Formats: sequence, structure tokens, C-alpha cells
Amino acid sequence: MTRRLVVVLIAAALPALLPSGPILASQKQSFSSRTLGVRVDVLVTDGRNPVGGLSAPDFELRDNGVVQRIEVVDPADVPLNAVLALDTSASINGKRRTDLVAAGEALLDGLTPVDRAGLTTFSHAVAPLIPLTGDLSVVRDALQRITPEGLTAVMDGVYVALTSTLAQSGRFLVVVCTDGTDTSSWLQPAELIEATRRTNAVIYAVTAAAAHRSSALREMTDATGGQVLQVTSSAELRAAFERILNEFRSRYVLAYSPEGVEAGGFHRLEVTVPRRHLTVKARAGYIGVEARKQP
Amino acid sequence: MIAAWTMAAVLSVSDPQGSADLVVLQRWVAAVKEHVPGRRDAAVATVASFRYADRSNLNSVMNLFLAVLRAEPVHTKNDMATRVAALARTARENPGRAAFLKRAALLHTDAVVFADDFPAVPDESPPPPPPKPSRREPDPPPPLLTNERFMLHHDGRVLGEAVANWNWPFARSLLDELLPATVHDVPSGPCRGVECMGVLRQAGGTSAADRAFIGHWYHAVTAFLFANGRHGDATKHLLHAARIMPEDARVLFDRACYSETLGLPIYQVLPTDPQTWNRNGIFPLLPGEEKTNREAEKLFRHALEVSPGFAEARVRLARLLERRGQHDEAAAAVDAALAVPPPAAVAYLAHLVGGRVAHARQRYDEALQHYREASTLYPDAQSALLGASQAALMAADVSAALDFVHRLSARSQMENGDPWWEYELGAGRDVNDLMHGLWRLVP
Repeated sequence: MTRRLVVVLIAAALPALLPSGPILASQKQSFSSRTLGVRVDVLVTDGRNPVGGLSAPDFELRDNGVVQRIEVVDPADVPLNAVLALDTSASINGKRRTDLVAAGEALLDGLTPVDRAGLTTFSHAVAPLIPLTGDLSVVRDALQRITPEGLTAVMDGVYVALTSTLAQSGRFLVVVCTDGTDTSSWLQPAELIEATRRTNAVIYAVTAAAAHRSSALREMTDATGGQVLQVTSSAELRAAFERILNEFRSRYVLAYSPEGVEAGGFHRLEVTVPRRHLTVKARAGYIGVEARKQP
Repeated sequence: MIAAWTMAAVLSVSDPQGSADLVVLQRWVAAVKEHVPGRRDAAVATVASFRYADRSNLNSVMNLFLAVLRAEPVHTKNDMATRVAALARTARENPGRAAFLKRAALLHTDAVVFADDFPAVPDESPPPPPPKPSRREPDPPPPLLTNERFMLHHDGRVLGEAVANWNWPFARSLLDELLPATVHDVPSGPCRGVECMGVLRQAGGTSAADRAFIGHWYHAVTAFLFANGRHGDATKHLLHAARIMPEDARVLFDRACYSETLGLPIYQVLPTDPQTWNRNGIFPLLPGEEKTNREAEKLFRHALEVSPGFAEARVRLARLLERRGQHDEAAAAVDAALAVPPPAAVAYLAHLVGGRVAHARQRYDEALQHYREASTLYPDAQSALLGASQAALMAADVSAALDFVHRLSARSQMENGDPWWEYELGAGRDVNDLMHGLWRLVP
């Protein structure tokens, strides 16, 4: 495969980094005609509560330290793609399984007709069961067929879930749910964090509070601007999934075209709300795509 | 263990406790003679039915029995002792001392291997005493009365306790009878680990046939213990193997695999489980990954000094080297392992490790090539496909990254579908071949 073809494939496969219809079509914000190449999902909270009503001037976004001219996109104009990455190892049995399925269904209930969902399950083996689809009944059916068995390969499972967002358009939410720790993945946390920089997905993880084993998951979710929620029993899963979806819907989508920075390589992102003491969560950065060189 | 056994012999050699002792001994001797290795026969059923009281009876007469089997002069003082000695003499004549001991070891091996086919016997052994402030290790019980407890866990979670299986220490003690005693150098005071336990007997001075049998038995049993996750039993088994065969490449490899396994996440997460701390004194503290890996690396290097063509030892050494950033040496070890050439499963693991090393060096094309080679060997194996996908993604080839993931299939989820999933088994991956090979060695 030639280098040139590689560049073409990146452009086709990572629409989140390129201009797309829904962003430019928004009429709620005053968009210029310039190209908006990068989109960043941002959560702003005051304590535990999401903060709404902010506009572009409230934010400061630095790309590799350089302040960028941003615009706020109405999230409602961008389809939401929710990928469930669920631990189905042997310990997810009985009530845990029932509660996990119910939580997954609750998240599906919160999606709108324009949204899509996908499902990946993992024990030591990863099953990319349902690719992103608007037919949520297919996902519901697959949830019902979950059969717990085997060990736990969290990293492998999350990687496969992440890849289901490649070559797709829209916003991407990956919800990882596991009750234990990774005992059998081939992929390592550092490798997975590298992968997250090549997608535009926000990863949320739900883990058992008693486990205290989520440092790798925390690093990964932090890298994408998501977070880890800990539950003390499986009965809390449903509320956790609903909270994640609500929180994701309350996020801002900032869009900008990088200026004053090199196009390629890793771009470190810093997003703040300078004039207010608010907590801002966004992905730590992204891998920039170099413009195709002329032959 | 051997020290305790020897001391007990002086005390009870001429003093069987009663007819119950003799009855159990007769049943045991008959079972040893009748057992066909590898079969779930009546002899195995006999041993599998032994309760603690039976073992205690057998223990009472075992020293006298073994002394006569060794053709040592004994002075029996009562009819019971005379009958025990007579039983031993018949065993010495048919099938012969060495054959009897080997058959006995195989009988007790099969009693564990086929245990699920027989009714479970409740454990009535008294629990070990709680640990004392003194760092001196308490004297272990005789092999037949082993009462250790181990942690029972699954997928990183502590589930409870498991009792050490008495058949293993007893079988080891029987095979020790084949070894010539050498220098006794048992240190006193606080001392842990095989290096400070001294050498009581070594396999070096025994016959080639006995040495081969003992070597194969230790390796096959290690494989069985690893394959069944009986790492608690494996601890003592490998400590003993190290004492009697310190320069055996397979023993070094098995010990290295054991240390390496303890450094894998499935073990390293156990101390974070709150259940671990509810059983104070029962479990040894699990060393950290750095320590276990360092021990494993030392043992793999030692195994390679003894047997330079030991490809899997090189692959596993490479994985450890990669873990601590020694990428150049790791890559060289992978290349050397692949040059042997190794069996498919080992070659697959070599390519996986090679892929990871190349990835760490940001040589994504090279990583992809390694993972492709691994996928050629095991087309449905998940780890190779995901490694290839990740390498392709890092090389900015999203199409290829997706293609590898799309190759995951139902076959990818099948048990034994990916040699990486069996990595922690060490020699346990080959347990069936090893056990059948052991049974074929029946004397």
C-alpha cells in the first residue's frame, strides 16, 4: 500500500476530523464559511451538575498551546452513536446479568430515532456482536442473548468497540461496563490510549466500586474526556447508564479549524472556561492528519 | 518435608498402632500393584476413597514399610510389624523396589487426575496452626498428612480456600526413595526459598532410567497443576523439583513460568481484592510483578544456559524484557526463538511478542508483519488479529485496522482458539501429551 493511499483512507475514515454536513448545517450558531476540521466533545460541570447555556466566547481552547477560534455546534444536529462494550465474563451471572441487560436497554431507551447503537461483548474472547445500527431492536435482542462465561479482557473489548466508530460519522459514546479487572487482554492500556487518539469517541466506564482496579480504565476515559463511574451493586447500573447518556447529551461540541499549529502529529488539547470556576472535561488530544502532498 | 519424614521413621519403625494400620497398608499395596497407569480403575478408586484417618493409619506404618523396601535391616517387635515387613519384602521382589515406587507415584498421580470420577472425600485434616510471631517455619507434617490451605480464586477474584492435595507430597516422597541421599545441609533459623533449604537428595546420582522417569514425572505433574490452576500445589512441587534437579532445563523452565505467571495481571490483582486480607496467615504474600518477573528472567536465562535451543524459554524471556523496556534484546530473543524453528504455538507467541516489541519501537510495519505471521499460524486467534489491527491503525491504515477486526469470528471465541489465552498454563498447554508420555513409562 502506498503512502498516498494511506492518506486517502484516513480522510475517508475519520470524518470527525473533517468538515461534515451536520456541523455546517447548524443554524443555531453563526458559522463562518471557513472549514471546521476538528470537533471536540466537552463536558462542563459545576460540582457534579452539568452546566448549560455557555456559548463560544465562554470557552478557551488551546491546540498545542495555541488559542483557537472555536464555534459551538448544537449537539442535537449531530447524530449520537452509542457503543456498548459489556463484560460478559463468568462473574456476570444471575442478578448481575439481569441488571446489566436492563441497564443496556435503558440506555437504548434514551436514544432518539436519528441515533444509532452498537454492541460489543467481552470475556477473554471479544464478540463484536452488533455494528452501529439505527435498528435498536437488533441490539436489544443481542442483549437478551448475553451468556456469561470465561475471563476478562477489558482492553481487547474496548479496542474492538472503539474500532466500530472508525469510518463512521457523528458523535461517539462508548460505554464500558465491567465488574472486575483485565486478566487476559493482549492489548495493553498504553496501546489502547494510543488508539483513542485516533478516534473521536468519548469513553465512559462503569465499574464495581469494591474492585479498586480501574486505574487503566481511568487513564483511558480521561484521555477521551470521559470518566469512570463506580457502582456498589449491579442494581445501580441502570441509573449509571442513564446518567452517562444524560451527561453526554449535555456536552458541548466545539468545532474549529487548527490555526498556527503543525497539521500532523499529536495535538494536545486544553479546554477551559476562563471566567468561571467550572470543571471542563475534554479529550486530551488527537492525532492530526497531514494535508496530502502534491505529487 | 524429607527431614520430617526421616525423623518420623526412627520413632515408628517398629511400632505399628494396630490392625487398622495393616489393613490400609494392604489395600494400598494391592492398589499399587494392580493399577494400570492412565486408567480409572479400582486401584484409583481405593486411593481416592482414603480419608484422613486412612492416611493417618498408613502414615503409621509407612516408615517401616519403606525401610524394608530399601532392604535396610529392621527388628520387628510384634506380629503387626512382622506382617508389614513381609508386605514390603513381597513388593521388593515383585515388581521390585524401583518399579513399586514408580507405580505408586503414578497411582497417586492418577488419583488426582481422575478425582472427578470418584465421590469427593471430605477434608478432615486439622487446619495448620496460626502463624506465630517467630519467623521460623514450623516443621511440616508428614507427606500423608499434608494440611496446607491455598487461596482459591478465579478471574482475579478470591473465592475462598483450597486444601493442598496430599497425593502430591506423598508421591514426591516415594520418588525421593529412588534418589541417593547426599549431604544434609538444612539450615536452621528463618530461611525461605529453595536456595536456603539445602540439598538432601539430588537426582544426579541415580540411574539414568530412574532419573528420566523422575524428570518426566515432575514436568508432567507441573503441566497438570498449571493446566488446572493448582498453583498452590505447584509451589511445593517446584520447590522440591528445584532441590533434586537444580540443573534440569525443564524444571528451570517450569519454575520460571510459575514466577512469570504470578506476575501476570490475573495474579497481581489478587491483593486488591478485599477477600484476600480476610485470611491472614493462610496465604503467602504475593510478590510484586517486578520481583516475580526478575525471578522468572533469571530462571529463563538459566534454562537457556543449560539448553540453548529452548525456544519457548527465549520467547518468554523476550516478553519479560519488553516489559521492562529492553527492546533490542527482546527483539533478538524473538529472532533467535523463531530461528529454531519452534512448534506452531510457540512460534505464534514469538510473533505476538515480536509484534509488541516492534510496536514499542514504533516500527508499525514490522509489528504488522509479526502479527500477520501469527495470524497465518492461527487464523482465528484474537490476539494476533487485534495486534495487527492496532499496528495498522498506528500506521494510519484504518481500512486494514477494520479488516483485521472484521476477521474475528465465532471460531475466534472457541476455547483454545488463541495460544495467548493459555500462556499462563506454561507446560500445561501440553498436559495431555505429557501425561500420556508419563503413563507409557510404566515400569
